[in-house]
Amino acid sequence: MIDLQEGRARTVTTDLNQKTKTKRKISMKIPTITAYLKTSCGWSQGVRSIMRKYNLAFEDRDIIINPLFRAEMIAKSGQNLSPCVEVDGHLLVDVNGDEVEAYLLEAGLVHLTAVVADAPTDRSCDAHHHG
Amino acid sequence: MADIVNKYAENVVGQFYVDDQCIDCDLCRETAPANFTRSDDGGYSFVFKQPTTPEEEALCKEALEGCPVEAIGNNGGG
Repeated sequence: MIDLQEGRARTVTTDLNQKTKTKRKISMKIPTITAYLKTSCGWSQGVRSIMRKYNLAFEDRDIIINPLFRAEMIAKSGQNLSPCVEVDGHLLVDVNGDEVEAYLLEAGLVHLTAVVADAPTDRSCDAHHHG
Repeated sequence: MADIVNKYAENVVGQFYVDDQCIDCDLCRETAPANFTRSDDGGYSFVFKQPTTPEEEALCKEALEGCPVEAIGNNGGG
């Protein structure tokens, strides 16, 4: 026999769980990200790939196409190696995709995901020359 | 135009060189990999071998002309 009251109670509990889940998702802070990258370098593609992996919106400042972005990166970081990635005002200097991902996870800005990055995230600028 | 006064010390002596305007864009290294390489610490290109064949010289010239910031010079003598 089905206990209607118990059934109703169960439904309510499920609803509450659903609500909690939804709430948690919404309250997750969306970081403001500015990335100083090169057009085609392996490190830069790795960083872009991490942004796609976590579906993060970011401003892609191409330092090769726009010299002003390069000057801005050097002024901010005090050096000329890219990628440099600014996350909510925190500047990551001369990093690869893996390092950006580690920072985002540590800062609690993204959650671990089973999604695999669609490009190598630790490939150097000219890996094809070094093998 | 590239300035020999500002060329990077890593350039081998000779006609071609890279000066400090280089933005590390990879074009010369793609165009003439037998002659240009990267300073991984400095984040710029330099000439590690002067061209020794007409083909290499043509590619170095192509790199010079293609460099987006004109950081490659060919008046290094030698």
